[in-house]
Amino acid sequence: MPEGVCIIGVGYEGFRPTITDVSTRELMFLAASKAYADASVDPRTDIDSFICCTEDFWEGWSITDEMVPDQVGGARRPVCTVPADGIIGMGHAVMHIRSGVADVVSVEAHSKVADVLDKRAVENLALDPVYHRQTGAGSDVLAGLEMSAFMRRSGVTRDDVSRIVKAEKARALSNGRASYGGTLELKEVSDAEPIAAPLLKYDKAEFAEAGTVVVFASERWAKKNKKDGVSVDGLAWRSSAPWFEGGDIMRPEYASEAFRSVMKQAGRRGADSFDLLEIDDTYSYKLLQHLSSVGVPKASAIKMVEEGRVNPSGGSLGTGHLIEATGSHRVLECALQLRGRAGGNQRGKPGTALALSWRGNPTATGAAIALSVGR
Amino acid sequence: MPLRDRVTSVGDLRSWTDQIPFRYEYTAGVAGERFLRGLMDGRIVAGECGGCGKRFLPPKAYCTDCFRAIDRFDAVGQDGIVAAMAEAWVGFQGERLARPKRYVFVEFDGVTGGLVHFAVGPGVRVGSRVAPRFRPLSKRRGSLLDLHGFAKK
Repeated sequence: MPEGVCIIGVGYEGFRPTITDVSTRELMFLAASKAYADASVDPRTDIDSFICCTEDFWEGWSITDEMVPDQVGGARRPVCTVPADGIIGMGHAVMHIRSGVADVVSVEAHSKVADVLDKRAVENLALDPVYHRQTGAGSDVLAGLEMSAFMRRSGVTRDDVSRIVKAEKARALSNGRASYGGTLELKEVSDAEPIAAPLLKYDKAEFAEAGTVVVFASERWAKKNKKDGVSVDGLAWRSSAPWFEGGDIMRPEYASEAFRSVMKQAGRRGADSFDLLEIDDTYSYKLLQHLSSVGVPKASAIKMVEEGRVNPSGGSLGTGHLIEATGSHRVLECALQLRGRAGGNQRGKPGTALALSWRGNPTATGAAIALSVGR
Repeated sequence: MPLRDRVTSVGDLRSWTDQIPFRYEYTAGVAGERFLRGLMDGRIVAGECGGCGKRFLPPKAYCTDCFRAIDRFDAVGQDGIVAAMAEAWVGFQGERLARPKRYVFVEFDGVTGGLVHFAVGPGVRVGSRVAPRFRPLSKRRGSLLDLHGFAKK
């Protein structure tokens, strides 16, 4: 049996479209301070390893990892940067603990994306310069293309994706961390201005800013120090070929393979075995595609979203897209739900949760994590 | 309270505007050279793995499945199928367009992947059989834009 790992503390700051009163580093400091208070740990003595999930272009600062240690309490300590989604950073934390490198690990991820005046330029630079970029088909065009193919092959209709948008926006109204909640009529969603038709305005998550920190510990350490934790039952990430390079448009492999690995680690049989799921919805149709990837058919998927079992937070469509902190936000929402501390969007007393992330176009990278309490 | 002094007046907010002024000249590479020179000759070139026989477009110099080097590059057929289509009303820099740009993702028989490019002319829809439309020979420069896009056959 590998070493058990659990979440012993979470902290966050922000969760709004723009944060103007603190700098990126201060935002990280605020989130870290709250997480360490929640976990009742002193980062200068109790935490063995610090991980920050960040990407230089989003920071506007070369070699950003050199600027990370101070504000998370990691000065003169082992600190590393994972330039990827937050759940992948958490995967490194699990490895640090299971390998015996560390007993307690802090994982930070943030979005200070309103500071990026040329967001499109950053996204455009992610496109292949030889085979792709010159046509000007940016991230949203790729999404529009994929959406058209997915809808055609899956039978998903405009009405189906509009129902997803409507449900998530409505759900976000009860989440204090959500910036984009609202009451929308189906017609309003379906008649919205086009971005890259069939992709319309409300099909895309708007950007938001937040700092998040999650503190992980070995279950042995948590037990010894009398900390209640949320168990990490499985965690995996995968990178595969984007759909336009031959990836599967119905079941993107990054999602289906990461999910399959997590199920094996957790000893679970399927998505239906979780009380709640926080699933990537960077674009409305991606939520249905990702649910299809984990074995949830369309009809059940829409019902689960409308009932709030999927994305009780309102997802990225309701909360806002947090770039590399998007996966961390999903884990944060799951951890808060499992501890009964989600606030207005608390969904009963769930015992198990699954979070699944996608790193956005043009990537084919995603991660999944299974969590539980009261095992 | 982690930070005791917080900014509480908008008038006190300060920021600094700067930019990252980098320029690049991207090497096309072994497979990229084949592809771009193929476009200059009016051909769309894919790479074929000598191990599993899988053909890749855009071409790669290595097989995704076998991790073998690829050294066979051949033109795909002249017929493609539109597998996806989008009408972009927002431009590459985020500007709203007065007239939409029509993009297609075109697949070719027996080839993994395909090309994202423009739809040319009327009647192009998902499922349409299309053919590439190249720029005049004298105007080709060895770039993806040597191709105008794909038109209905």
